[in-house]
Amino acid sequence: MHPAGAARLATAAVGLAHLFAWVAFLMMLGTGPENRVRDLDLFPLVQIGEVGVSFMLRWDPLSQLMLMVVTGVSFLIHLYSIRYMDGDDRYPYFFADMNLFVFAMLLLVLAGNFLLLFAGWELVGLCSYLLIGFYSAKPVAAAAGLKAFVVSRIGDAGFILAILMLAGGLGTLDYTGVFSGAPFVFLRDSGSALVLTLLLFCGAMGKSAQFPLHVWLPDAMEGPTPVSALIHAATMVTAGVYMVCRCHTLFEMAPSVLQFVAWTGAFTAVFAGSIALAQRDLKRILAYSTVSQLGLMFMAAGVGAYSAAMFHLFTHAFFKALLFLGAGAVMHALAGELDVWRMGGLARPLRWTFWTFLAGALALAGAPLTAGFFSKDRILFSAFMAQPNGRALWLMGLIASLLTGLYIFRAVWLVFAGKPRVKRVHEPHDAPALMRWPLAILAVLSLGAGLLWLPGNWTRFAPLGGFLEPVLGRGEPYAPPGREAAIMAFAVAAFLAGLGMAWGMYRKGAVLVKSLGGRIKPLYRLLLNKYWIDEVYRAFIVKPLFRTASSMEEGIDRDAFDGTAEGLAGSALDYSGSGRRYQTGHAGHYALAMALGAAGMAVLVFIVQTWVLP
Amino acid sequence: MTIGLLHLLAFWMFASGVAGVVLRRNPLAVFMSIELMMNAANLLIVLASGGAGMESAATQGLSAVFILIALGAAEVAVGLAVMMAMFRDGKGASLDRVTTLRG
Amino acid sequence: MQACALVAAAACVVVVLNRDLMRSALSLLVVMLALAGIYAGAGALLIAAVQVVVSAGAVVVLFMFAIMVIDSRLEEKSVFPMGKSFVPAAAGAVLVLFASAFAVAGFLDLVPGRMPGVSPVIGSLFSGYLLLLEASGLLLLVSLVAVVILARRNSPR
Repeated sequence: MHPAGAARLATAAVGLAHLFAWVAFLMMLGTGPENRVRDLDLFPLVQIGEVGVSFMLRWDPLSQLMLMVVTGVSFLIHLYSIRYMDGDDRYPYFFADMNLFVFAMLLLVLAGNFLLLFAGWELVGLCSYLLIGFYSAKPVAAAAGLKAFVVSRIGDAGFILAILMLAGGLGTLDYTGVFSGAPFVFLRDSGSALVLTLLLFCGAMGKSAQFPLHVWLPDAMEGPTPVSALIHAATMVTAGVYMVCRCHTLFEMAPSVLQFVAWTGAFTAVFAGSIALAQRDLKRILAYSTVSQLGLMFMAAGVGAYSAAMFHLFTHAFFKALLFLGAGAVMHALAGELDVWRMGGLARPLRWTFWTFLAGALALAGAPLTAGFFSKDRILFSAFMAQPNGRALWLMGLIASLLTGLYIFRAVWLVFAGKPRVKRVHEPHDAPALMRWPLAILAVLSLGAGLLWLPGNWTRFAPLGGFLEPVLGRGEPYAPPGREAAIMAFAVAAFLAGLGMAWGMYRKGAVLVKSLGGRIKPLYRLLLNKYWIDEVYRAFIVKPLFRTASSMEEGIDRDAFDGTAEGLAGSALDYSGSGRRYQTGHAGHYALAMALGAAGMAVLVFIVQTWVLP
Repeated sequence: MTIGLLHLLAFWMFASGVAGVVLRRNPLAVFMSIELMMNAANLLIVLASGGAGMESAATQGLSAVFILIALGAAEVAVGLAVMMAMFRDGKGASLDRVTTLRG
Repeated sequence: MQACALVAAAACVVVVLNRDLMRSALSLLVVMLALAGIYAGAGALLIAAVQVVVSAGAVVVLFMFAIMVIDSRLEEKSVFPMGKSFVPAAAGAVLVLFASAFAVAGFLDLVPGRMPGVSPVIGSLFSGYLLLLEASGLLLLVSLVAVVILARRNSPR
């Protein structure tokens, strides 16, 4: 197919899907909040024992929200990619893969039972693998794709076990059946509830790159930038959060696991944020940022604030996609340069990119009144008010916010401010129109989307929260009026602190860093090398597994199997060799053989007749 | 053992036939040996029929022999025709050369 | 009858062992006639007649014709091609002899009893064994056709 045609077709398809999403949204608004949860059973799929699974879709506010986000952001990214990916000889394949991904993601969010959920889950994993390894000529890219797939597979193993537990314990995989029946089968705080939810979260950890399964996401940046924007920022990685929110009924049966979720999220948020501080690669900074923000979402889910987690997912999709597309524009202008220490002074030539990127950065860091501010504030507030250990979680969230501000403005400064640190061959040019408009739209959304859920102490205007209520429950803790304001103040303080530190450290060519660099060199190296986790994994997990596999291949595959097969073949040949000498070809010999045989039979008959029978 | 001279003759003929089939090189000779074997069998049947002593059983045996003789003639005719064809193709003068089944 | 038996036994050795094909064929003739004598002595007159007419008169004559058409009357070198296999083959033949003897040993009477003559056999052939009779007739027809085809097939060459 003609490349341009392919791109247009793909984009139009996604655009159409987004249109339908709006139609569905309006239809949903038309019905009262009580009947917004609908199941659509299309046709039966499989029947295993007494568990019957059909192609069932669920349409409710949660899936509707995801629908809007996925199709909307995807559409913008498609538009962007038409221009960004232009010139690549696998241009149509790219769009085909992207659309397959969108399909899979929609399947995931619209699934009405766990089987379809898992099907979508696996399919997005596949598309991620394919798209990360898009530049297949680069071995790094292929390896990264493989790493993504394998690591998330570890999580998927847990997920599968959880699904099996559900099927076995409840006899059904439909959401309705599971969520209503589970509390009776998996009793609150029982061992089975713990195991089930832990396994489910395992899957979420793999897909959403939480510690310790976070290692694949930074490597996934080897894929094209639109892929990073769509899959590894806005949609696929959020599937874990979506799943946890979707299954919140199940998680509520094991409060200790919810605690674990919250703490994992909080820890990951801080951990990833710290790594982002030292990275040189612009996309990797953003990748670690994504991991960190996902951590915040899980922290929210862990304290029961599912709507808050989804709110942050919603806003994060906008500003993170924006940041990635902006990074793409920078790369586009600088012919693929990614190292921030080789950038600088791009604010003037890349005006559009700079302003939109700045908008995204502000939203990410939680600058007041941006979308990120409202969603993050909701999370921090919910964490603070949570019962066991809420304050500690809140503190970690705050630290993460500080780090966020620090790393993102570091990036902004190093990329856009000051003078170019490396001699440029030709003047960088700003993004072309088709890339600009998605950036602009996302910037507007990043700044304005927060208005959909204003904090309780300002006004009662919270349509988003109300919208999600039928599915996720209110989860809005009561607080004395001053409390919320105080927490907000802390959040703003964290933002300003991060901004200020970044400004101090990195303006004017980062003199301060160079001088500080000497003293904090070891710390810097630790962060730059991501705490050496990849190396640890390689030494303690990958290498031993590899060795086991190859020794097994030698011992079992080669010696046992092949040896047996060859041995059998060899002995067959030997036997036939010795047997062949009887086939002389002389009819006389054969006749003799027959005669001797007949004689033998006769003797036998005689013996039987005389001695055996009587 | 109740074997009469005639039975012994039948066995003798049969054994000679076997020896001829196995040992002779010329296909015609082989054929003649086969004919010997057939006649040996016929003799045995005749002897068996007579020895049974019952009218009907003897008749059955002899009818069988009648048909068997005819059968033998037919078989010889066809076999000889095959042999003629073989000779015409240049093979078959010696059974030694017929070794296609060697393996 | 015993005389016929001895003659037959001697002649069949000649059939097997003689290098000259024509002599083999003639000895075969002797065997057939001796057998006919035995049948007659035992009282199976119809069979004796059929033996003379068909076996001796047709089969052996057919053999002689074949031998005459194919010129190789004398076999090459020795009669026994597989020199070293002669012993096993002979031993095999003897084994067959005695084995068959043992096999049928206990089930036969010494001397043939009263044998039906001509009419009972003919009667049986045309009643109980009618199907077989007709079938063998058909068989003879078929073999006639086959012989004609086989004998002629390669002539265009």
